[in-house]
Amino acid sequence: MSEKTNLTHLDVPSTTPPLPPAKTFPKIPLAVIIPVIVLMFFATFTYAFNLGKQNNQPIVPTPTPVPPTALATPTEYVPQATPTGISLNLTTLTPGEVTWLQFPAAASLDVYQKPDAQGYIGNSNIVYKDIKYLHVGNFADGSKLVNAMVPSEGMGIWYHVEHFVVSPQGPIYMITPGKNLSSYNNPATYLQPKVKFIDLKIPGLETPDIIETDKGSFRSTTFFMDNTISFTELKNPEFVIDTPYGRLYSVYTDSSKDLNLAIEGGIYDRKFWLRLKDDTVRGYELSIKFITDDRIPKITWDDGTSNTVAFEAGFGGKCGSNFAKLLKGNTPMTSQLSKVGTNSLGEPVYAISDKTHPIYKRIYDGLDASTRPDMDTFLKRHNHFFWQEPLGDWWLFISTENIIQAECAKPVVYLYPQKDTAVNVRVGAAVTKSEPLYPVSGWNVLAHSNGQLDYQGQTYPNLFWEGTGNGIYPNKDKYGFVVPQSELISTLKSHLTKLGLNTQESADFMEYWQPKLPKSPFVKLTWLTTADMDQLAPLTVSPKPDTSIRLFLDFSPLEKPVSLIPQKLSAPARQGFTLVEWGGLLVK
Amino acid sequence: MVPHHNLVLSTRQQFLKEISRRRFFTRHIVLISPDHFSPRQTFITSSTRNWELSSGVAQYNNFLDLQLPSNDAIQNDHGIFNPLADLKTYFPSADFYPVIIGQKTSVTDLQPLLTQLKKHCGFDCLLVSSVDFSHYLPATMAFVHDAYTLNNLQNLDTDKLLGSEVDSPQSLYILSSFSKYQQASRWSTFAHTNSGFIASDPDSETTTHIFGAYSRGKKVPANNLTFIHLPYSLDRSLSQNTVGDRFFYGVDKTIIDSYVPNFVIAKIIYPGKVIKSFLPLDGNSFVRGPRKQQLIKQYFDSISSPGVTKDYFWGTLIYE
Repeated sequence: MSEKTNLTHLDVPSTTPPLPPAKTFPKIPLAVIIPVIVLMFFATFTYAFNLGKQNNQPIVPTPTPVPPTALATPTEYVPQATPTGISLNLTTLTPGEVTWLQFPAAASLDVYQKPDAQGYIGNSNIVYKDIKYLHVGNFADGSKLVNAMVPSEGMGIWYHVEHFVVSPQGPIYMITPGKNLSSYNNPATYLQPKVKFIDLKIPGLETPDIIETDKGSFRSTTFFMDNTISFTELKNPEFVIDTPYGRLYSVYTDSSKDLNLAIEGGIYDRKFWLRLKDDTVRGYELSIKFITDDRIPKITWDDGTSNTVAFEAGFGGKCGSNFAKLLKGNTPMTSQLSKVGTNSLGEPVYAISDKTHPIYKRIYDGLDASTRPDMDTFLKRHNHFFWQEPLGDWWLFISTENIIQAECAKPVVYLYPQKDTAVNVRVGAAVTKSEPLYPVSGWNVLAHSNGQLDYQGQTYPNLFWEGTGNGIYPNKDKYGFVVPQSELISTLKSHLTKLGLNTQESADFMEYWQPKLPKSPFVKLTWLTTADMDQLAPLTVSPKPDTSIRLFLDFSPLEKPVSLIPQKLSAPARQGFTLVEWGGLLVK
Repeated sequence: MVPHHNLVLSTRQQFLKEISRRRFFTRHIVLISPDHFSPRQTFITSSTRNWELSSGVAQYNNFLDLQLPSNDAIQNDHGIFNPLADLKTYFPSADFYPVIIGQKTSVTDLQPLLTQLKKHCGFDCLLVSSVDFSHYLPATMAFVHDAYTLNNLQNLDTDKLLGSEVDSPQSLYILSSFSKYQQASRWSTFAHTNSGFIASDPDSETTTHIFGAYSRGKKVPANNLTFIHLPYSLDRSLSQNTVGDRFFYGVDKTIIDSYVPNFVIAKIIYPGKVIKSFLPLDGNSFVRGPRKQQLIKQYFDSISSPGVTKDYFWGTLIYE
């Protein structure tokens, strides 16, 4: 099937001109070219000769002498011009070496202009709110190093860190983090005037783009402005290697339940974290040398062909990220692999030899049904491979030919204040769709006690958002309910009541989710509750609700029952201002 | 302008090959794409890294002299690495300045990039927008949204382009504004494809791909008009999960009338020609499958206007 359909069946009148023709050079007789070349040579020679005679006339004008700049003293402000015109007054400060605290201590600092200061980066705003201050180290001169942990939108799992030096004499200095700060960010607009600025590099807080080690090369995965969490927030970090910039740890997440497929020995996701001296961590990933940046593995297959298609690690996953990428060390699964090729580093790559293995169907089911080939053709092509990295884990790579991506949760938020109340709602997620349109600073609605929401002259029954949760998807693979198809609807309705939804909310939930439920003999239902959702996609609501009910359904088809730990479903009594939110996981 | 959807990889390669024949002196390429993954979506960001691609190493060069914040999210953004590999193939000696634009970036925040483009992107510089067009809609409705976008691309209507149903209206704004400044006013469409038409599926949620370019020359004005006729008022807030939010924008005008009950009619009026696409509606949802075909047949069979061509499969009537 040709991809270039051009919609000819509609016979659209073409008012669009075609691409202009490529320029071609007219054929010129040699008799014309030769005299022209001779003429040009003569002209050039004459010009150079005349230039030589005029050597007293400089071609490049002499620069105007500039008076020498006075050396900056420690208390002197030196304005630094930047390409975009923002000029930050920098102070020179030499507070000496840092002695790091073993455990950062809570601190207080009054440096932002107001509690909800709006910082401007370019013209885009960032809200400085719910900031956590941590005393992380002491300088030789007695100054303290304090981190201001600024949450990303919403309460945040991720933080943007701003570093401050608090001198014993009183002045407070902000360390400008990053070489380009002054060109796009102007902290003078959101910090109090008393705060001064220093360009100080502190060993132990460096996060290079690439870290080379004996166990591989690791590259930074820092999102702009949202790059940090505390080391103590990592779950079961495993030490990997010491680097010149700090210790590197790995954190594994079991993604078997997301895959809904029994893989002996499990299948995991993994992240690397560089632990800095202030006890924050920055994300890194293993740089895989035989895969190009456009995701083409350099592999010669054993049938003699070279790979030309793109592969991604793991399965296309929830909320924009892939999952189920790794077998942790050698597992029973690795004994089922057969060599299928060799990568550009001379290392073997493998595939599951048994083509009836359910992983093939799982990969096939993830392809775009409208463009995928038939199953036989699919099985004949190189649709996946395994590779063992130097650290010992096995990577699973899946061809991205015809692949589709799952969409994220589609939560709906209801607000029930006791009286008419102006409410601000901010979502800790990258919102991609919303109704009403989600502004950066969150929705500001007038909420009525009957749940009606007034927003910019319109009335809404609820707030809808869809996007990518900034937080970590909770691991609840062992929990939930296995429900026969015949009891699915009644069970779901019963669950919704137990979880605290009222009749209208339950009806809204069922209206949306019922057509999307699997038709398999059995269905696994797992509920994420308020605490889980606060971790995955926190909501910041002001004023704070007295009661919050947040629930999120994760479901998957089952051919036969599996053993699960039943979840205890309950709901808090609705007291005072109540927030209700429901959502679920939509896999297209 | 190229799509980053790799379903149309070979068309993208053919198109870039054509462009490279016309732009053999290109030394610098600015590649702009929507930012698909960053949590913060109001910023323009970049990265100073070089790219090791299957087609060779793409060298970073900040020839725009623009100090954008660094964002490692760019390395995993297919809006950049998919077209970049093809650009490297067809412009092997060019260097690159890749940019990702947050999907909520304001027009004001686009100005520094536009200013630097005007200043530093000259005859040896190519601006490439990596944009996928209509998303999630049935092919015939996507086609009407595309007509609106194409009309405004052809007319260099930068403001209207911000209302386009694409994944990065900001990229279209930059592209058209820069082209206008360069007096490259002549828009040409190389190819226009849609996953629903490719798969011959009138019901699937589709993605549209448009390949095109501005070049020197006079603007060839387009004057089509696009409409959506609704049979009844649809509550946008209640339709997010059914017809989707993208249903509600991307045309010149949405009208509520009920001259064909229970059908959404997506309409394009060209000079001398009108195309109407019929999409039966049930409440807030599209009717799909055999029932849709049945409803279309029932209605189309009742029409006997002269000069009308009926396409029962796609549900379109063409009047000339």
